[in-house]
Amino acid sequence: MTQALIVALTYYFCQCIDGIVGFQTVTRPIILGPVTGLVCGDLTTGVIMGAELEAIYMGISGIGGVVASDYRTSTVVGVALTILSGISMEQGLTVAVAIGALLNAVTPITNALKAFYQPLQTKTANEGKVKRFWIQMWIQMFAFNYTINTVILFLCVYFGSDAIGVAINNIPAWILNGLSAAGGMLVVVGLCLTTQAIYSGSTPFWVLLGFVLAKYLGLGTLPIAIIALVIAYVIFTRNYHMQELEKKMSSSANGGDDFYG
Amino acid sequence: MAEKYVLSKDEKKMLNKAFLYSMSTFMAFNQVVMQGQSFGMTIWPGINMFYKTDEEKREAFSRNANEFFNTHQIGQGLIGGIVIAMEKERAEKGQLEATAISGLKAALMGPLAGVFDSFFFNCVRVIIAGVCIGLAADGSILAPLLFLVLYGGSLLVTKYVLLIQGYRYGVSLVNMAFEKGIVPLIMEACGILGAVMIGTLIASNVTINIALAPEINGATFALQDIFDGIMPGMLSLILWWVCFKSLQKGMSPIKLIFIIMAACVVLAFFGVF
Repeated sequence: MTQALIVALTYYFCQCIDGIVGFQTVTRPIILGPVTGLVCGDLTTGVIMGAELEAIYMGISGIGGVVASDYRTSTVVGVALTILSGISMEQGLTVAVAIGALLNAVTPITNALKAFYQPLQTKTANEGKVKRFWIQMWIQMFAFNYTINTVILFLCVYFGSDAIGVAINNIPAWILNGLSAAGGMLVVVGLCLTTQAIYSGSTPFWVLLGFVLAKYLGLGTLPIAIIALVIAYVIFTRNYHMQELEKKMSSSANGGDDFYG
Repeated sequence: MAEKYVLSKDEKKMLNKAFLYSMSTFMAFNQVVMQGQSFGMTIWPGINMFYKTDEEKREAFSRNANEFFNTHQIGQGLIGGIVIAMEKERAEKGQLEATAISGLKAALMGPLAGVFDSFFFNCVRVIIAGVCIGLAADGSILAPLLFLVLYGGSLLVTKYVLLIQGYRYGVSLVNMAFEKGIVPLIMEACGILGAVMIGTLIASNVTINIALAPEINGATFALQDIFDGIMPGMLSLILWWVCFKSLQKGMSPIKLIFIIMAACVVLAFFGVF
């Protein structure tokens, strides 16, 4: 019981620190390992294991929001079980990988919760209640961001991941599928709000250009941005010359005679 | 280049506050606006300082907080600084339209995310972690502390510096643009940049995968393959256009979020997703 609680709370606590400071440093294995070790009473093992795990997961950073493997669970569970129940590090990691897979399976639920929270924030922002908006951001972090993961982590360490896996597999697939499909689409709402903000007659065509460059030519954002910059610059200079020309014409029209000498 | 802008004491205070708020990058992350809420808070100190009436503040804050925003956390500092500078000009002179701010934001966040992601994740962190892993081999407590200070510290310091510099250069550049009378032209250019980057974001972030493959007379029709055959990603574009049109017609984004979620779960029940 205490074991499971320690593991789960360490995970929750470190996630929250990263949520508050926003530098994605404390949940890296090389720090998370020692912290877990410290909580479990064996700092040295924590440091050594944390460093080994960091070496394994060094290349993984979740670029673009896709986390290839859950290094946080692996670290917390691996280090804690090694110290507390005396199993080998390899055994600890095997347990951790199974738990990580379960956590990934329920991610759509957490994402759905967070998305459900957004309308409340939109409303608060529209009402101009900034202080409340800020407090509600904190509430989201403490209440929604990591809660499901923490609870499952606790249950897995306490009851074993097999039992929890059976329970999670009993969630109808269509709920998870639907929620993760929604997760892939919801971003369109935010993008549409931006579209609305910058909209002018030619906007759809420029959007189409960006879409084609990214999807069909497979260009990255930086090359696309450079292409767009060149186009925008050309249009800018053309308009600038037109504007100067207009100024000249109107001033010479006022000055009348000078123009023809 | 425009000459350097000297910060007043109040501005320094305001930027420090903005920096503290900007730490919330991942605090209220969601699939709808991603870091939008955090970005709104980042520029709130600026809005609060430069706009006069509550109604103007409300408008500027909700405009920024409800829009999509996603970049590397350091990019958030730089873009935050520039946007605060633009909001300042908008508040004081009123000629800069909101279009330019949203356009510039959309134009910058994608490329900056790419640049800082690869620089910090694949270069800085790998080097620092490499050093610290070596130190940690004999269980030295110095290793994690060093990692925290060097890596976490370098992120925070870079973000702070870029926030300040973004603001300073932003203010002097916008001033220069006003003197030359080219603000409307720059606004148009920002709109183009923003729109192209929105297209890129739709291509990379909006994913629709249809699992439905009905069997008719023994032949399977994989719907996703058929749509991809016509035009890859066309469903994303259609979804974007439909949502945009319904927003234009006065549908609230709040309703739109619930409709999409409900529709997805219902459709998934019938095996579409």
